[in-house]
Amino acid sequence: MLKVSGLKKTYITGTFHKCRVHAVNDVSFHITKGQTFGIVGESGCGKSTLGKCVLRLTEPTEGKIIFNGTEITSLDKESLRSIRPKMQMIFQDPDSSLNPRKTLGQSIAEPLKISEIETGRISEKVEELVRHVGLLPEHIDRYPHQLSGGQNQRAVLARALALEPVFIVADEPTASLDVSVQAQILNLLKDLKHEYGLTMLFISHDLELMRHMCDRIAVMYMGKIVEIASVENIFHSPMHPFTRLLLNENENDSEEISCASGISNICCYYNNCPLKTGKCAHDIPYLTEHMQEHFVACHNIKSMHIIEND
Amino acid sequence: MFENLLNVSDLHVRFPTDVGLVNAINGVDLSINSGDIMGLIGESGCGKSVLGLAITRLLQEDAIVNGRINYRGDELHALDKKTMRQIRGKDIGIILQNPGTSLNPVIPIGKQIAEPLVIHQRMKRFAAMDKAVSLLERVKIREPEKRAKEYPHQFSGGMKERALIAMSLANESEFIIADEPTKGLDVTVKKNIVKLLKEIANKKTMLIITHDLAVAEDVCDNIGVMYAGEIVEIAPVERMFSEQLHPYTKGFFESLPARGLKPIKGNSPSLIDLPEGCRFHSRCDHCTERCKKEHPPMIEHEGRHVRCFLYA
Repeated sequence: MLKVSGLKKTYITGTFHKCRVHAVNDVSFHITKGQTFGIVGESGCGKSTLGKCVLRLTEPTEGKIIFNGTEITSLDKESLRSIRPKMQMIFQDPDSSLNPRKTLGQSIAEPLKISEIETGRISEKVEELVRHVGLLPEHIDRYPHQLSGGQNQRAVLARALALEPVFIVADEPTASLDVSVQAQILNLLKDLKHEYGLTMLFISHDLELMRHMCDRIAVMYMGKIVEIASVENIFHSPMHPFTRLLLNENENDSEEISCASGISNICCYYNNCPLKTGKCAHDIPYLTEHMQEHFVACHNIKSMHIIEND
Repeated sequence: MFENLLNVSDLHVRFPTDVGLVNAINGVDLSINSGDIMGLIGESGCGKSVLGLAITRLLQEDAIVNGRINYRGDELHALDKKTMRQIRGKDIGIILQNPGTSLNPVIPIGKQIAEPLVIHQRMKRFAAMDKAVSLLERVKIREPEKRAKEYPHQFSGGMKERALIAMSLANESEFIIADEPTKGLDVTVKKNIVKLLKEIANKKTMLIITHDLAVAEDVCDNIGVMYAGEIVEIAPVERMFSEQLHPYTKGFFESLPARGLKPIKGNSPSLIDLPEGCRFHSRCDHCTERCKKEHPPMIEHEGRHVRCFLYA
């Protein structure tokens, strides 16, 4: 369904001291139809940038994105517009992704206006969508500030579903919500996924959440994917030291991530890695398949297993 | 030594707004013994941060506060501003929410940490700066001398949080209130901050306000759960985590991703017009006629406290 290969996004910052920040650095993965693919990582690791690049909301610097057989990285604006309705994005903060001066109904109707639906049927369709996401018809005429964060996020979901997309990027859809509301929204998202047969890219910093939402997970660190595996494998046999740190398996006093720039021929996790060897300092590890469908970017996985067995 | 270091009784806090009075806190009773680490958990808008601000008298001017807050025999809300200022920051340390906005962006970190020392202990600037550096060292910031001269924007989120913790430690306060000390931090950073909090908590009395159950479980001795401006359940931490009595607490625990991701139906009530009877009745599966009419008192059940008629 979606295939991303060699994706890079480089930002240049600084007025005097130009500095390249590799927000997304040589990332490749694929998502099978109907699956939910999760990307997990700490803030600043490039996961949101990756999500936006996939939809070409920010232009990737390098790499290929193939969506349903079409290479969207080379499309011009016109043809991109024809493919966009099939891919939608849900952002972190529902309050700021809705227009404060439009009622929820108007916001949900917006994508329908540019579609081929006849004007007369729009309000009917809005009502149907609103009911689908668990809101009441009375909410249609309210403004975002009159509703709670959870209700607003439901409206955002309704808007994303308006054009019947096949692929959705959900970028921390519950980051600004309370736990009990988070549970409501995520369960709704799961139900809608089944109902509409959606394929999803789910971005979060919370591994526990992933366990409920995803089929496969990629762990990102400083712009790179360090491990890709099925949910069971990530939780039961995590391999990369960073994944193990996220899962609380190994204790270490790690320094906080500074900046995603820096030298290019060193393993991105070198500074914090408990397993590092001389090889890691001058040879970047690439994602290699260590077990079936379980890819890890680390030189020392084998030695780690030996240590465990001793 | 007072057995009850802090005693809050029948505290009400209301805020006047254009659309009516917001009842942020409705009759909170809470006592914290010397050496205890008390955790307050609840969702946003349940009044837990307001409680922390009310204890330190940092609420906005027009807030209407009723009830008693007794700290070591002093009635905090009866004190004049000057005396309160001597207590706040000296006897009661505060770690405020959002390290990004709690630090002054145009003053170096070291100077900000030294400020309470100069004010409360009348230390000389240089001596205070030296102390600030050693405090930074105590909260495990590397190269503290160099870092003390830097500005908040040069610190990462986790380091800012450490700087705030250092500030609250400056005067060796006996009692520390920490409001969401791990909010907005990455998992790995959070782990280190929790470790630091535990080290500090060793010798202090603390009130930790958080919505993060894992943090509460790790650091606290007792847990209070707040809902719609009142405490609905209090229990020692192990008992709270092994069994939750109040239906809201149960729902709150079960809605966590690690515990099943089962949502509580409905929404929290508006604090402007609070529902009659039990505040949770419209979302509760065990709701009876009595719950709709009568407001449940705190009921003692097997040595712990819960505000629910199920245990009457």
